[in-house]
Amino acid sequence: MKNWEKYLMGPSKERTQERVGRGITGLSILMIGLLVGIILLFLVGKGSQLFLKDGVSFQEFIFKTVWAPGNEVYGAASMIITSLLVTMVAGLIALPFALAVGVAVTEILPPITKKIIQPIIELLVGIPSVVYGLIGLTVVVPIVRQLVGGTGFGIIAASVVLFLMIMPTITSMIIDAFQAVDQDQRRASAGLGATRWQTITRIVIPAAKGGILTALIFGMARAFGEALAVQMVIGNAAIMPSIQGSAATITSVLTTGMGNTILGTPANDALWSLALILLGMSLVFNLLMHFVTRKEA
Amino acid sequence: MLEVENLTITYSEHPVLKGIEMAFPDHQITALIGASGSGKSTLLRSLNRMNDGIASVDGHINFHGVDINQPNANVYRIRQAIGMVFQQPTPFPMSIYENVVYGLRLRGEKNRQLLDQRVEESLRQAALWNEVKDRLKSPAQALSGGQQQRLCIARTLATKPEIILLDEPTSALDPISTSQIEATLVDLKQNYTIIIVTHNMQQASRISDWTAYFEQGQLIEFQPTEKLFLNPKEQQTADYLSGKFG
Repeated sequence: MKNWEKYLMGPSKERTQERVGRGITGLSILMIGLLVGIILLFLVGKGSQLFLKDGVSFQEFIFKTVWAPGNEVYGAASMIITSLLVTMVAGLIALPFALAVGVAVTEILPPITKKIIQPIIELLVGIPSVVYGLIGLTVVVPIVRQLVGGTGFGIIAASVVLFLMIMPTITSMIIDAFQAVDQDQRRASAGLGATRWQTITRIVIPAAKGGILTALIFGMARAFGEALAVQMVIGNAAIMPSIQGSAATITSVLTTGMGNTILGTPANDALWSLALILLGMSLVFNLLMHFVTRKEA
Repeated sequence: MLEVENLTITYSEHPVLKGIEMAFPDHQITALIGASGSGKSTLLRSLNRMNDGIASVDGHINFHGVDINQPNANVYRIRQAIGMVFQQPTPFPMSIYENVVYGLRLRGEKNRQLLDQRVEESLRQAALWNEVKDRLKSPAQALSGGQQQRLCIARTLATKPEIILLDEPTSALDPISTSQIEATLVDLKQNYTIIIVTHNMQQASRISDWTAYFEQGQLIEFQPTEKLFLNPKEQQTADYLSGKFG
């Protein structure tokens, strides 16, 4: 006679597996959470030193445009503006191109072209940013020099390089967004006598609006955080941006400055404060993306 | 008004309809029945050229005596005169009001009064007005499945077509919504010629005046519904109706 009490209530292989699995995933989640928490704490701690210990006011840091660590003047406004500017320009140039490619691939060209273009785009997404920087250095900068004068280094070259870099990402996400629009919607629109152009502008693009915005924000977040490619072509002068002259973004100042300051000095603390601003901005981009996708659902 | 002459339709070398001859009676409901793959949906879709670029058409489809497959025929006008409602309700991601006027806006209609009037008229004809009149501005996708399908019918009616094609319009709906749509269709036949593809033989017998039975790409029998169901001329029809085939 089977002891049902023991059989049903006792230990088993399945129970052990479940417990071990739950333990491993729980531990992983805990580690990720801890890591994020530590980074946050560290950055906030280090980033606030400039204001707490070195006596620079937060307003001065955000709004003053003079960045002269040698003279103990820390105004990051020019870098913040340059970062926002090159990001916006890159995003706004990339959007129409990405939309056009997306429409062509999903709505107009035969399905076979999608099979060719999609892997190419994914390949472009995977190219390391140093390669984009190199192309910027050898191709974009000379062209800018020819066209607008100056050295060619500056916000125009940086915007173009960022545009080239984020365009594949945005395009790839927009293609996905267009493909997520139900085929029946297109058919229903055609059934009411719509031309293909009318269906694209009145049905497909509005239906994919959330996806398009998410793609744009995602691309701009990437552009905002990009350091290497920008540093190679922007000229690295932490002054207010101009059409011809050199400039610097938050990230390019960070990469050029990190190795040249001594830990614990105000000049080093100022870089940590810049990093804190970067973190704040990526938080803003993330929230924006959540907001857009939430509204969609 | 609508006639099919010696129509053969081919999907990549494979004929799905062979030598169809039929004239759809005006202001009546014609049901197209048959097993899956019999070609009935293909016929329906070719009647307003929804098969363009997918299948090749031989023979003639004449609407008011004009062959709609002529190379320079205006496919957009054809689809506004011969509207189609699909199997799955397809409300567009916009308000109920904007859904109904979609076809009119495509033509560039801007007269607010006319749009308002057409919305009420079409929604009334589709028996949806009383349920949605207070929330015309709310998103169409919040409606129930049956309401969405009646909205799609209203959207088709708004462009004032002469013929309405329906491709299994109730197969995704519950029985109550189905009977509402059937009642709507029976009302609509006073003003429109209706052609419906259905897998539901009871539905065909309930609402249609004429029924066409298709088998393997051929039109086997086309008769007044009562006659076809009670006293079919062809053995194949009788077998299908009694469930021996299909």
